[in-house]
Amino acid sequence: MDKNLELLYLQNMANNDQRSFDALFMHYQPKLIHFIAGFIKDNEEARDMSQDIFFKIWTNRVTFIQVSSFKSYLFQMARHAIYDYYDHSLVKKKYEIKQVDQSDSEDSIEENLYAKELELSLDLAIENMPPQRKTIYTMSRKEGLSNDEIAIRLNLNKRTVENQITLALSTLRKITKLVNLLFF
Amino acid sequence: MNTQETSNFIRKFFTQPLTKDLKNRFGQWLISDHLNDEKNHAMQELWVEESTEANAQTLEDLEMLHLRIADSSRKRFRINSILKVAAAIALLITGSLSSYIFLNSTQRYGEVKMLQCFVPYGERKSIQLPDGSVAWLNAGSLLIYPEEFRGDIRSLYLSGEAEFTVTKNKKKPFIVKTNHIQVEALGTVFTVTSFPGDSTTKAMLEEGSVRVGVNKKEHENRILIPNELLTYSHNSEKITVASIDAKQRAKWKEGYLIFQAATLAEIFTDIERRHNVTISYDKQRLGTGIYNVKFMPNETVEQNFEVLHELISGFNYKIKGNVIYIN
Repeated sequence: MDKNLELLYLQNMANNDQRSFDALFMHYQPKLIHFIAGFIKDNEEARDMSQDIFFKIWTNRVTFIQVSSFKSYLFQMARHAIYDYYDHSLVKKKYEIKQVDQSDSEDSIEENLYAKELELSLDLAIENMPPQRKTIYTMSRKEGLSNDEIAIRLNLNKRTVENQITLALSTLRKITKLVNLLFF
Repeated sequence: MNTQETSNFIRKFFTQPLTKDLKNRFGQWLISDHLNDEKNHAMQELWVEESTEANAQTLEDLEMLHLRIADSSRKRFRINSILKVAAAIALLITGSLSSYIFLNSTQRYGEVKMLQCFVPYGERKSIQLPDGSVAWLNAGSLLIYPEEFRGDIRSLYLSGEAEFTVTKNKKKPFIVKTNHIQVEALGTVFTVTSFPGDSTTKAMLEEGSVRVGVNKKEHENRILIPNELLTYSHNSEKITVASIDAKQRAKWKEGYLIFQAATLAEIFTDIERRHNVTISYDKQRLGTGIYNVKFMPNETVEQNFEVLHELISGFNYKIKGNVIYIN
């Protein structure tokens, strides 16, 4: 949106002009939803959160006369909302990143944190495998089944199972290698 | 991870569907208190890049919002304001968030009304406090203070950077509280720098005397004399004190950006706040140089970077809209 036009809208909005508010809403709300949804993976929730944000904007409209960039202001609000979403989520405790022992050296703190990122990267890669490969890999590594057992359960050729596991491992190895190069 | 790697990492999760479990683990990683600057950069990049057009749903949402607005003004319902202030203070204490709070809005906290002043990036502002003291707030800062100082102390909460010129009142110490330290003054001029996400909190004294206390360690105090800069490192929990030219440093109020023995990363952070831009760079490749630089009040961000280009051999950059890329 043109900067001067936006400033005009903000000023008018501060003076109770709902049409200026509407214009800002139409321009920024889709972006806001898209951004929040990208982080919380829930479109309806992102829609609700965006409504709350714009409701607050209207409620506090008088103060927007001093805001120079509505866009960066909105960004801060979105980020706040995303943090809040995860900070208050019921599952927080369960997933909380374990506090590293304070007596540890700087280095091992860093390593621990990177381990977290490596773990997340690997799990994301597993998520993105073709369904069959993902199933086979999970059965093999997480449930500890042998290739024979998997072949029988899925009614597949043992050779196929072996191939899929080789492919899965090579994808994961690439990530580990990359991460190792970057961090250690 | 440096800025670029963090950005790639976040981008992967942003663009792909995730299972609930992975989503929650990513979320907790995202709000965990490390790589704060890098995460902020990455999110800001995505925010700037991603755009979506309005559609029928947008209009529907707008109509819903109109109803909600009409409804709320009819009922004049009040949000529980104590909760709001508590949330604001909790926000300061957790420090993991940037300083979005309803601007200058007022609410009741017990008997005393709390006032909030927020200064967005790209701006600075001076306000008079109820006792006649003056606070100058730098870009991206939030100050919460009572409408009236009651009781034995004058206490306020700061997230960001502010200079205080305190009116003398020996009976009522003036205390600036932040996430990590608190600074107590009787009558004096000093600056406190405590941005969320920074790894240090600073207190600098121009005139008079202040006592700085560390929140975590009840008995650890340090008295500063003029032209001393105290830096508290959040990680090591250690205090260091350096001699500096406080008058020079305080010139940000007039629009100067002055750096004495500053790293490039520190310079970039201040330029971002001052000009409301994003600077994208690889932390590991910045080098360890330490610079003295002074930017004049009316210089544009382009001019700032021209100066850095002249000053540092091999320093190259590219400006694209609101984002500056460092090579």
